[in-house]
Amino acid sequence: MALRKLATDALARGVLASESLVGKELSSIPKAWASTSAAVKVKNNRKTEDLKDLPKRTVFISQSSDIFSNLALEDWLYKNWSFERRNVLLLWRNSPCVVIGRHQNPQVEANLSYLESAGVPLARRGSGGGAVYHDHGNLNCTFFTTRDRYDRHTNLEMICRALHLDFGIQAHPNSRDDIIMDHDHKVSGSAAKLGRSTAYHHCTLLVNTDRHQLKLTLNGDKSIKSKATASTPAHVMNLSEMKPGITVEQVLTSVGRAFLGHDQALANGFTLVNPTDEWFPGLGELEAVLRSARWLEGQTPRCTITRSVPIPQGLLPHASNTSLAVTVQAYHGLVEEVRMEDDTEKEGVAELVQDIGAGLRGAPFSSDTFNIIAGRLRFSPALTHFPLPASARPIPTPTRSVI
Amino acid sequence: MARVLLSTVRSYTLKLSALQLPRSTCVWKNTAKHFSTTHRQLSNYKYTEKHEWVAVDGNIGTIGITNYAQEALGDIVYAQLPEVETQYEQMEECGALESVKAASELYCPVSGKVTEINTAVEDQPSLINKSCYDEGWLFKLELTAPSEIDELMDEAAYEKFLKDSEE
Repeated sequence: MALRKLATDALARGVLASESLVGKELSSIPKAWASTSAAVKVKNNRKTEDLKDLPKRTVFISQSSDIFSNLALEDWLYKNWSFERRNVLLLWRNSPCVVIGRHQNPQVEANLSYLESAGVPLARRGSGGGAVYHDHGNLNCTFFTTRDRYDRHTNLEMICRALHLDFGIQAHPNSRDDIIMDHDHKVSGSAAKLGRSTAYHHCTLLVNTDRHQLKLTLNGDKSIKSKATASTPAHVMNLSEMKPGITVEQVLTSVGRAFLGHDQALANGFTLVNPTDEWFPGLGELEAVLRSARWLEGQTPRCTITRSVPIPQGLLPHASNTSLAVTVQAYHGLVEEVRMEDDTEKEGVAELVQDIGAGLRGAPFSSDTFNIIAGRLRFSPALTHFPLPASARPIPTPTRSVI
Repeated sequence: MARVLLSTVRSYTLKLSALQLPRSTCVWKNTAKHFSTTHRQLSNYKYTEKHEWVAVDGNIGTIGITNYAQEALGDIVYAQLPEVETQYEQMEECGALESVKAASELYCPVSGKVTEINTAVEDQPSLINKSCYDEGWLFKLELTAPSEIDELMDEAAYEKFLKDSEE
């Protein structure tokens, strides 16, 4: 197959390239690593199996820093390869971006207006879990195995051993499969996707991330109610705070070497891969799906948002009322229902709100939706006899396009 | 006034149902199986190797996951069900169940068009853990190839399959 030829070419190229990449770093890794390697310990614990039956191990390093290409590559490997005879570790890095879990709500998890102004893209991955911020100081590791061999804890233990042996960093995985350093600071979070015969477990590793940017981006609207998977907030920490000067390249090499282990017969080495259609036929289609609004917004679970909408004074029984609590229910990014929250209302107003809801049903839900509702309430033909006070001036329509 | 009372009652009952029973250990697993066996004697349940069940009633098949699958997944926190009116082939991906940060794919055990989804499970995913054969059903579809049902395992064959795979 074309891919195998490409892969062997890449292997030839990759081995050469990785040697030059790895050459400088190797000299700095302590020699003690070689004799007391974690890989040796793992081998002793294994039941006696024929060497030929054990899966070969390969490390792929992605050459792209585009989140969508990398997620598409992950998806491609998951869908197209069989991992009976091989275990693959994919190491990748991205330019600044926010990645939310499969069943999360973008508005709840991220500060969408900040993301837009800072030019930080938002992506949704195929695995579960919470929202994370990626940038060049973060290393992503994806472990591909068969469904039966899926074992998150072992993968994380391997990473911790590598960090300890190569850099002297004390870290350990906790019950939530986060890697914790310094008692309760999180340096890595995990998520996984389980399919019929294949499974992958991926995790982040904060080496040198911009924590300020992380806080600014993962600052969503928590007033939205839904059954979507919630993120668990945590105190994060960079590895560089424990070991100054550590780079992502060093951690990449360390983790890759630990994964390959000491068995020369089983280790297939490092390979640089380029997530493009030429290398992986069909990747372009997967990437297009990941970029589409249907995937980004269309997977959003049902949620309800309640806001105060300004209305003409006197519309409601109490003369001092200038606003109305309106709830919008959205499903898969589209408006499903609009209703009023106040109990004591005039018949006409409730019906009016429901009519507006009927008109908006199926429209994409965005930050402008409440402005649209306010506008329709104010300028509805039924209310033309209400005098508009100076405070209820029409809100100017934003010039930027609706998300 | 009535609305306030109703919402209080509703929130109270929700709190009650949130009380989780202890997770089943090995011993409990066997008892749970027997209990659910008597419960589903009446229907015609068929099983797939990937631990999904199909209950056929005329031309409509109801689909869910078995006790083995529900236990393996752990506490399910979100169920993404297929959209109504969508057509699926056998073994096609049609949704996902999320539990403890792992999203497990849901595969359609037989070909058909989705007619109904269980919205109770969307609101309360833990129903799948508590009652995977009854209240935790996932979706119903109109079968397009009823002969596929005959290829699936019946209850005895599925129990044997489970015993064999445990070895």
